[in-house]
Amino acid sequence: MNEQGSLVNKKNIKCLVVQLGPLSDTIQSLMALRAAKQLYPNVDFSMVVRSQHSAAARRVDWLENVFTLPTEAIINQIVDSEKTIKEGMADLGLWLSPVVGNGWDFLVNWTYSQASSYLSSLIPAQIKLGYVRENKQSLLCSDGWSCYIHAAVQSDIKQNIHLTDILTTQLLTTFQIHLGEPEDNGEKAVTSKSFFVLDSGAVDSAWDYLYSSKKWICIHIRNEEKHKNWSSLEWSEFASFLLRRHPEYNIVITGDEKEKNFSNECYQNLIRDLPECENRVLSLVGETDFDLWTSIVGKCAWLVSSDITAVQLASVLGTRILHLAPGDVKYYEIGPYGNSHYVVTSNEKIRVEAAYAVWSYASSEWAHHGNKTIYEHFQQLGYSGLISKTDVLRTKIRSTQNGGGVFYERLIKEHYELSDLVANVIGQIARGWYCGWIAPTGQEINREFITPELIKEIRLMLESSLVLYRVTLEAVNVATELVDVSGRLKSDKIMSLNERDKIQSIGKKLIELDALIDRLAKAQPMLAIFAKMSQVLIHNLESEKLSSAARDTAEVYRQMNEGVAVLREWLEHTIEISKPVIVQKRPLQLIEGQRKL
Amino acid sequence: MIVDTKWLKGRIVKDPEVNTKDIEGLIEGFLDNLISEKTLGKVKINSRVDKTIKPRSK
Repeated sequence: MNEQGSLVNKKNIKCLVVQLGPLSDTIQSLMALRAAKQLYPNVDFSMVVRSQHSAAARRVDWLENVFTLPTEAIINQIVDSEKTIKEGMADLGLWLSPVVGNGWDFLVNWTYSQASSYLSSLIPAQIKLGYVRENKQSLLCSDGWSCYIHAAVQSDIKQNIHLTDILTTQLLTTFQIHLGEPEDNGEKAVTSKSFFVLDSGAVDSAWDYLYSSKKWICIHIRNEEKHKNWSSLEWSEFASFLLRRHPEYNIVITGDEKEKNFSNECYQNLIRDLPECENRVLSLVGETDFDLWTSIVGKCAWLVSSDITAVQLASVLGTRILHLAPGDVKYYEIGPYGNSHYVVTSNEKIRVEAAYAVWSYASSEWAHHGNKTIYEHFQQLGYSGLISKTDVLRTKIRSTQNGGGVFYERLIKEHYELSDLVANVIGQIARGWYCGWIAPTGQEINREFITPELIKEIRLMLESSLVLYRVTLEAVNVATELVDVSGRLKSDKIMSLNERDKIQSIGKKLIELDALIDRLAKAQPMLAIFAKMSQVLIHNLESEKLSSAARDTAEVYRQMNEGVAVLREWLEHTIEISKPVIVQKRPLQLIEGQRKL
Repeated sequence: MIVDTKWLKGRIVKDPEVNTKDIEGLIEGFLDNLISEKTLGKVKINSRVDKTIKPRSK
């Protein structure tokens, strides 16, 4: 097969996406696929999803096929001992048959789980992305972005590329190589109120009537992880703030059936405090299917929620979002996608007053046009004391000239940490590695956020990164030496004792350098990305001969070395821009007929 | 700065057809892991995956 542009002249390209994750992952995948469909309209996309999470995929009219995997039915029968494992396997095989026989050109596994890696190996396709199984069923990453997901996204490493952007870039870059350039330049928006084709008969006519006469805020409740999420009292306090101070808004409360008791408590608390507002609050918890829920969220002016699925749905529909993301929620990877959404986060529980302050600031943007800072707004409301406990971010979509994708603009500088700076740089390094986008050094670093304490930390990091730079450079040299030695061998299996000893000694050196990279990463956790990436990349090398394995290994260390060099460049740049700047005095201006000082 | 375009192309599968003697093992592995996900809880795209990279033991 001619690898470069191999499918350029083929009509009817077929691409299957495997997404066995929950509904939030399916919606995120659909957003990425929509972007690809706009640029490559001749590609036929199909999806494999779990039956219980298939609603979103079935409501999209540009998918050729949606294969629903009845996981619950198959597994429950085995767990309940109604069927044996062998019988379960037979059921799976039967289900697989129509999926397998389609002659797929691309198979994209966006689930990134152990289970899905087996499925993606069972389905034949010319080109695969994501996790697969090969060679005695070991887990393999098919491509660079999958390695990045394995090493960075699915670990403790903080990086700032949104998952939707990773999936989109992964697919589009692969298409560009195999299918050629896209038909248009990709500036069209992906999100839309009509993203899903809803069953109009299923949409509640009562809601439709209510919606058309008023402005609504949807509060989607999810009561998991109680210590971080709000209590029913706190939700009702927040709703009370909105209703008392904003007579133009009404509230609709949504959530799963299992949230019914909790939401009833919220509702009762609210009506007890504000009985006059009873006709401005509608509770539909446990009463919405996917169609009605989508219709509601799509028609509301705002969604307020901590639930990721609700946030993804509102993103896709273009509804503005106030995302409550307490604790260690990775909002920068799975948070709102689009322009002017707001994220409120905190290491403690988010204060109701703070959340209200952020929402009121965001909803009055049309009035202040960004000329009022969030500090001033908190001060006006009498909540200045909450600033130190509340972190606020606003989403922005970068233009294509600036690299595209979403980024989270921090509005409160006190919370800016070294990990945020490094996360930004790691994201830029990954883009440099895997989509050829080189951001200008220091992009999106705000000079005002750089404190003397941060500079101290950066200087320490520069010292350890210099050691890492030298170690990775040495690893490149040692691996290159192995290329030379192994290249002279007539066979990998037959060699002289001297050659064998030489190869063993070089191998031992590489193992020592690897161990040193690991120790550096433990001592300076911000450098862990390089240790993890090199481990994952080396595990996924495809080379069969020793000399090609050595060459590929050298390339891995070269890639890490270049990444460390970029990191150091950004750290040095940050120190540079933090230095005081001399303010130039304006020269005297003489205006004709007058003398002005 | 792109290091190696092979990482951008995706894994090009030279012989797309799955070897019949591998099929049973792969289906068993698939089912095994689906059952583990159910008993251990949902596995989301952004959750941790077992980082120990080793062949599946038989």
